[in-house]
Amino acid sequence: VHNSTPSFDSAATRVHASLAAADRVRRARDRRRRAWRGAPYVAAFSLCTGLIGAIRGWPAGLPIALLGAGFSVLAAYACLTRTRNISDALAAAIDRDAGLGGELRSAHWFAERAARDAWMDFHVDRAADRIAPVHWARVYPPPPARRAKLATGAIAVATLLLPLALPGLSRSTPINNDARRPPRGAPTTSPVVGLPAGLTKQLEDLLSAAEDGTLRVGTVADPAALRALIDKLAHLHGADSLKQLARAMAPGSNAGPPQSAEAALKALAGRAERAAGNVALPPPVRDALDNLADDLSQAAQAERAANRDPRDATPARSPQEGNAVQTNASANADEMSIQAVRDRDAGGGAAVLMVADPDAGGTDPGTGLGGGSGAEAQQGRMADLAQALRRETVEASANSEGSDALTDLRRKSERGQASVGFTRSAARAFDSSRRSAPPAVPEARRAAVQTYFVRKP
Amino acid sequence: MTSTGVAQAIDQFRERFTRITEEVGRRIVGHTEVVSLTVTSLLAGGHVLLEGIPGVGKTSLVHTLADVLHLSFSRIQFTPDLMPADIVGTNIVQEHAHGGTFFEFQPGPIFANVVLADEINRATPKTQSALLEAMQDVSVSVGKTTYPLEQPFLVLATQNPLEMEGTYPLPEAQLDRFFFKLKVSYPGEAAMHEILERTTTDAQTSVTRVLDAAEILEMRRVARAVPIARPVQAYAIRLTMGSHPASPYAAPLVKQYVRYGASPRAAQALVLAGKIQALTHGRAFVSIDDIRSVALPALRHRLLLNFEGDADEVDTDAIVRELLDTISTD
Repeated sequence: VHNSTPSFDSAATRVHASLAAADRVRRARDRRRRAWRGAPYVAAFSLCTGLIGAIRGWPAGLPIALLGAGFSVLAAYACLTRTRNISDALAAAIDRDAGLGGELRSAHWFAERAARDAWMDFHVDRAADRIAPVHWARVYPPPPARRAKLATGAIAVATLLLPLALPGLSRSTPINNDARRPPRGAPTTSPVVGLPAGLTKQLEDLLSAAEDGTLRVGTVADPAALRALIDKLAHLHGADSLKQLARAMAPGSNAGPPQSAEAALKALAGRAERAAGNVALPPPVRDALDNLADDLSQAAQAERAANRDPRDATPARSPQEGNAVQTNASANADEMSIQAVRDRDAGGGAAVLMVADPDAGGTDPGTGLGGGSGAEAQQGRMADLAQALRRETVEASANSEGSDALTDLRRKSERGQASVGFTRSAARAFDSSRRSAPPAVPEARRAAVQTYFVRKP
Repeated sequence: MTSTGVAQAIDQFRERFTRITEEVGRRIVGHTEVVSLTVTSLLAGGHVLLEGIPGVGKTSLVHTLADVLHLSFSRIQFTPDLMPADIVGTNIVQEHAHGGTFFEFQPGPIFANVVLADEINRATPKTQSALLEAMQDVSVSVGKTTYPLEQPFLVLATQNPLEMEGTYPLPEAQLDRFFFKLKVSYPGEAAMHEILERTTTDAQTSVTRVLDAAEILEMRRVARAVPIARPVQAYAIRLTMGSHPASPYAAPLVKQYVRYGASPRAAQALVLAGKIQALTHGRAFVSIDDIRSVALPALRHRLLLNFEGDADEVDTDAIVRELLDTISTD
C-alpha cells in the first residue's frame, strides 16, 4: 500500500470527470423529461387564463406573457444543472445504465481513497480507459416526448391565436378598481345583507328630517312610503338584524374604525326614541319608531351582557319573577337566545340578563353539590361523586374486615391491596411468544413434529 | 508489484483456472459449474460439501481434480464404525533396533492434499468431529502433539440426500466450515450420451497434471490481493446479515422459516469467492454480480431452519434467492 502516484491521480481524475459528465447528462435528460411533462400544463394554463380573461376583460397580452414566462422557467429548469458530488449510489446507477459491470462504481470508490496499492492503481487506470470512449449522450438520450411536444405546440398556438379568435379580448378595458368605488358625495349608507331593501336609506332620511326639524305637522307627503317603512320596521326582529341596521346607520360607518355594536345600537335607539317624540309624524310611525327604540335598547343590553364573562351570568332554567319581556321570538334556533328581563318591582329598575345556550337546555340539572355553571359544574360534581363512592367503598370494606376469610380476601382485592403481590410475582422478562398457547399440530405435520429433533442434512 | 505485474497475474490466474476446469471437464461430463466452484473453493482455501444422488459423478470429480492438480489424494469411506483414529492416525508401538520400544505416530488418511470424505453423514458425530480441526486449522492433534497438514489442503465431502436411515446429520459447526455446498444434479440427456460413450467403450480418458501445489498456493495469494470496494463488501455483509430473522435486512421467508442465519464465515466465503470470480473474468475488482453468483453455494448450508421450515420442507435455495431479490445492491 502506498500513497497516490501521478498516474493514479490522473486516472482518478478521469474517473471523476467522466462520472461528473455522466451525471450532468443524466440529470439534464431527467430534467428535460420533467420539463416536457410540465409544458402542456403551462400552455393549458395560459390558454385557460386567456379564455377567462376574455370573459372578465383582462389584458390581451396576459396569456402570452404567462406562456412566455412559463416556458422560460421550464427551459431554465431543463438546462441549468450544477456539478454535484457523486455518491456511491449515483455511481452505481450510472454504472448500471452504461453496462460497465460494476467497474465504474468500484473505481469511483477507490479513486476517493488515499492509500492504494498496485491492484487499485491498475483497477482505476483500467476503469478510466474503459470509460473514456463512452458517449454519455447515447447512454442518456434526450427524451422523445412526442405527445408532450405535440400537445404543447397545439395549445401554445391556440393561446397565441386567442386574441384573434376572440376580438373582444383586445378591446377589453383593464382592471380598474377605482371604477368600483362609489363616487364622492354618495350617501354613506350602503346596502346591508339581510335587511329589507331601502330600509336604511328611508330610515336615515326620516330620522335626519326629524333631527333637522324639517318635518312639519301635516307635511309628511308620501303616506305610501311611510306605510312601507312601518311594515319594514314591524318585520325587523332579531339581534343580528338590529345590529346590522345600527352599524349601517352609525355615523361614519364607511370611514374610520368600526364602532362597537353596543354603542351603535344605543345611538340608533336614542335617535329612534327622539324621532318617536316628534309629533309631526303620524302615530303609526311614532309607534313603530318607539318599538324600534325599545328593541334596540334591549339588543344593546344583550350585547353588553354577552360581552361580559359568561361565568358572571346566573344560570336560569325558568323565567324569573317580574315582568319579563321576551324578544326575538322567531330567532334562529342555532343562535344564542337572549332574554332580557327587567325586574321593575323588586329590583328597583335593575335589569337581570339571562343568557342560556339552547343546546344546554336538556342537561342534567345537577346533584346540588354546588359548583359553577356549565362544564365546570359537571367536573366538580364528578370529582365529588368519585370521592364519595371511594369513601363508601372503603368504609364498607373496613366495617366487615376479618369477619370472613373469603370475603376479606375478595375485598382486599377490590381495594387494590393484592395488586402489590401480583406485581412482585410477575416475571421479570416477558416472552411475547408465550402470550398464547401454541397452535394445535395438524395431522399432516404430526410425523414431522415427532422427528423434528432428528436432524436432517 | 507494478500495473504490468498485476495484469500478468490476472491473465495467468485466468489461464490456469481455465486449464484446470477444461482438464477436469475432459473426464467429468457436464457439471461445469460444480467443477468451477470446486476449483474456486480450492483456490480460496475452503472445503466443499458435495450433495447428490449416487452415481452422478461426485467421487469421480474428486479423483479427477486430484489427478489434474498433481496433489496427493486419499479417500475415507465414512461408516458408522469408523473411529477418529482411523482418520487422523494414531501412535503405535515400535521397537528400537537395539531393543526397547517407543511410540511412533502413524499418520491417517487425513494427511493428504485432497481428502475425499465419502458419505460423511454415515459416520458418528465423534468421528465427524475429527475433521473439525483439520478443516479449520489445517492441523491434527493426536495426544499432546499437533501435526500440521500439508498445504493446499482440501476436504471434499459427499453425502446422499435420499437415504436418511442410519445417518448422522452434520452438526452446524462442521457445516459452517464448508466453504461451499454444491448440489450435483442429475445429468441431462446429451450428457448421458457422452457418459455412456466414454465409459462403455475401450477409449480411456486420461487427464494431464496441469498445476502443482506451489502454483495453487501462488494463485491463492493472487486471489487475496484483489481489492474490493466497500459498497460491494457491504452488500456481502447485508446478504449475510439478512439471513438472520431478527435482522432489518431479513426477507419474509427468512423471518418465517429460518431459526439461525449464516455466520461471518459466510461473508468471508462470499468475498473470497467473489474475488476469484472476478479474476476468472479477467477483472481486478469485485462486483456485485460476483458476490451474487456465489451466494447460493456459500449460504445454502448455513441457514438453520425452524420447525415451520422443516415441516414445510422449505428449500434453503429459495430463501437465498429471495434474499438476493430483496436486498438492495446500492
